Amino acid sequence: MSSDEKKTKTEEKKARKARKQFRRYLFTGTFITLTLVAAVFVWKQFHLGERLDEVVNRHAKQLGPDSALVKIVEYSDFQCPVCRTAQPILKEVMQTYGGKVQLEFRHFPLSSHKWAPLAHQAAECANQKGKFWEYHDLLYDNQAAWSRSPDPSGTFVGYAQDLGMDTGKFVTCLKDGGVTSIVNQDSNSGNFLQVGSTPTFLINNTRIVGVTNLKRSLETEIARVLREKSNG
Amino acid sequence: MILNSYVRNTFWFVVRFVVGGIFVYAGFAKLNEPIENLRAVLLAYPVIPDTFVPGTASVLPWIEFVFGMFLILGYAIRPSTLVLGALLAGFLTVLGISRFVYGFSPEDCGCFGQGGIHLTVSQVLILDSLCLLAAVNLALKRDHPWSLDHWLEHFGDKE
Repeated sequence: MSSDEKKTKTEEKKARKARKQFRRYLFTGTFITLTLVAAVFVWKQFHLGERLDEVVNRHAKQLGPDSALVKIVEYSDFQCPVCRTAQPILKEVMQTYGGKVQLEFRHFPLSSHKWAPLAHQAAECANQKGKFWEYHDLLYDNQAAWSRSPDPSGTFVGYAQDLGMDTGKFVTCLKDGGVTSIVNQDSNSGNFLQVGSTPTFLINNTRIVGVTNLKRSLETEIARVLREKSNG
Repeated sequence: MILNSYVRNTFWFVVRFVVGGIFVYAGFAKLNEPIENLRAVLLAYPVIPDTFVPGTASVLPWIEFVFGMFLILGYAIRPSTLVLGALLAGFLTVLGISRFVYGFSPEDCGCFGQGGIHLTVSQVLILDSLCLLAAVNLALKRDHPWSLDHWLEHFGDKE
C-alpha cells in the first residue's frame, strides 16, 4: 500500500469519525432539548393555577350588574401609582359598556408598599358599610398625599368621616384587624392565579397586566367575549 | 500536578454549574408564570421597544432554560456560553441604559420572575457582569473534562 493510499485511508477514517461524532452530538442535543421542553409542559399542566373559576370570592366588591355578560376581575394595590392611572381608564370602559360589564375588585397589597395593607383594611372596613367604591376612589385620588404620610391612619379615618361613616366603628374595625383575613383571602387568590404585579386584570381566563395599551386591550377582550356570547 | 488539575476541573465545573444554574432558575421561573407577567416587566423598561416585547417574552425564558441546562450538563459548552454571553451583554446594555440614562430603577428587575429571588437593577448589573466574565472564560477554555462534550468527543476512542 502506497503512502498516498495510507493517507487517504486515514483521512477517510477521520472523516467517518467526525461524521459519527456530529450525529452523536445532534442526537444528544435533540434528546436533551425535547426532554426539557416536555418536562416544562408537564410541570405547567400540574402547577399553573390559571383558571379563574377555581377561585371563589365570598367578599366580592363588584361594580355593575351580576347579569353582566363580561366580568373583569381587578387585582390592585391602593398605594401603587400605576394602579391609580388605571382608574380613569376603567371608569371610561365601564361607562362605554354600561350594563354589559361587571368589575370586581380584589385586594393585592404589595409588600414593597408600606401603607398598602392598612389602606386595604380601611377600604374593607368601608366595604362593611357599603361604601367601598367611594372609599376606593378617595384612596386613589389622594394617593400621593397619604402614601408619603408618616402615619396615614388619621387620614383614613378622615375619609370615612367625609363619607358619613361612624368614625368610632371605623377606628374599631381598623384596629381590630378582623378584615385582614378578607384582604389576605383576596391576596391569596391572586397568588394562586399567579398575579405577579399590579394592576392585573382577568377577563375569563385572559390576563392583562399593567396599563400599557390597557384601554385597547380591555375593549378588544370585552368585544371578543360579547361576540362569543351573542353567537351562542 | 494531579491535585492541581483536579482542583482546576472542580473549579470550572462549579463555575459552569453556577452560571448554568442561574439561567435555568431564571428561565424556569419565567416559564412557570403566565407570559403576560413577563410582558409587563419588559414593557416597563424604557429601552425595549413595545414591538419587541411579545416575541422576547415568548423566546427569552426558553433560551435561558435550555442553554442554562446545556451548560450544567456540559453539552455544546462553547456555543452555549456564546449564546448566554450574548444574552448577558444584551441584559447589561438594557439594564445599564435604563438605570443610568433613564434613571429607571425598580425594586425588582423581574429577571427571576415575580416570585422567589428579587434583585434590584444595580444588584443584577453586578451579577450579570460576573456571569459574563465567567461565560467568556468558559468559552475560552479548550477542554472541560467533566462534561458531556468530553464524553461525546472521546466516546468509542478505544475501538
